[in-house]
Amino acid sequence: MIRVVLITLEYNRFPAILGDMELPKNTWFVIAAYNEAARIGAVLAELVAIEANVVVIDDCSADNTSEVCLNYKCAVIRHPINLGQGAALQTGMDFARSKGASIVIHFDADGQMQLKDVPALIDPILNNEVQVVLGSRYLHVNNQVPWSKRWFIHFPAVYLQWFLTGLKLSDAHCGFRALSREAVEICQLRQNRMAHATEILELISNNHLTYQEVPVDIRYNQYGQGFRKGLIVLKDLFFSKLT
Amino acid sequence: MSIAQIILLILVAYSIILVVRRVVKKQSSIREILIWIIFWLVGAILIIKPDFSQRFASMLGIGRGVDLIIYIAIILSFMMQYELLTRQQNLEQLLTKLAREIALSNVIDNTKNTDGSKPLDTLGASSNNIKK
Repeated sequence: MIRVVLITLEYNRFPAILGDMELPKNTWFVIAAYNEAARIGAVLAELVAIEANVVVIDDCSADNTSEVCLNYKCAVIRHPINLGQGAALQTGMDFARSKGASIVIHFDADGQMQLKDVPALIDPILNNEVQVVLGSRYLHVNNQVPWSKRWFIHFPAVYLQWFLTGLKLSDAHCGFRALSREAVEICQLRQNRMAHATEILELISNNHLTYQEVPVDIRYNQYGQGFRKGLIVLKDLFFSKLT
Repeated sequence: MSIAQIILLILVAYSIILVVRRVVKKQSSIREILIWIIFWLVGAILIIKPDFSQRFASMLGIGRGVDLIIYIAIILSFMMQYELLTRQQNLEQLLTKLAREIALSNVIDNTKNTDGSKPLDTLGASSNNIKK
């Protein structure tokens, strides 16, 4: 009787089934959230249904994002001040690492990412092929990126990333990523705001981590980072390189 | 004396007063503000007698005394801005670290609950939380 109780208390003992694939026990979803009370519930419901380990980092939202998350079986961390998505992801990764995560998946709180892409994302890491897997919207056949965004923001960004990091990718700034344990342990993001995406690529190139891109299906319900925010990323990168 | 010189001297006098006030209010010691007083006095001298800078400029091979002053000012400005930039970035890192420590010490971890019968933690109930 006692042994049965102990087994049920050991959380996530039974791997969840995702498509044809089992979600390994120490896979953690790290979700940075800012004012996503309206959308995060649906995202968490899906993740909890597959018994995933989830940590949500509420970046000091003005709405009740944290309260919504408390209704689901996940860990909730709340920043006392708004620091930015990069900082939130780093906090989440620190937490996941402390929980013994062997794979960390960066996942969005707004429902734009699809769980069906997860097996393709973590497969290369599970098979010890690479240490970082980067999702790419542009490898995906069905990508819904608006034409203007692609040509005026995305293509220049890809070449700029290539110049800054040495990595030529098909998608410069997709937030859907999976990191192996070694990558998470090396990762110490100093860029608090949106420039963290470039910093992750620098992490890969500076530490000679193996990486791979896989197609992912991002369902846009809003424009995302506009041109002006892209300029702010450049500004942040520029000033960080000065010192 | 030209109008420009008078206006500049007034500004210099105001700056010296600000600095001296700090000593009077005991927010700084004389030693700390000495360098600023010297700086402003040199500025005042150069404003009253711009020819002084001309002699130095000729020695260094720069055309005008004013140019020399501008070059020095720009270089000093860049040095100060660099210092400020690095300090600001360091502060931001420290602030992030502090906020992260606070956040991580107040985690609400519901992943350990295995069945629906156990009540989930709420912000008010858990002993881990800061009271809002």
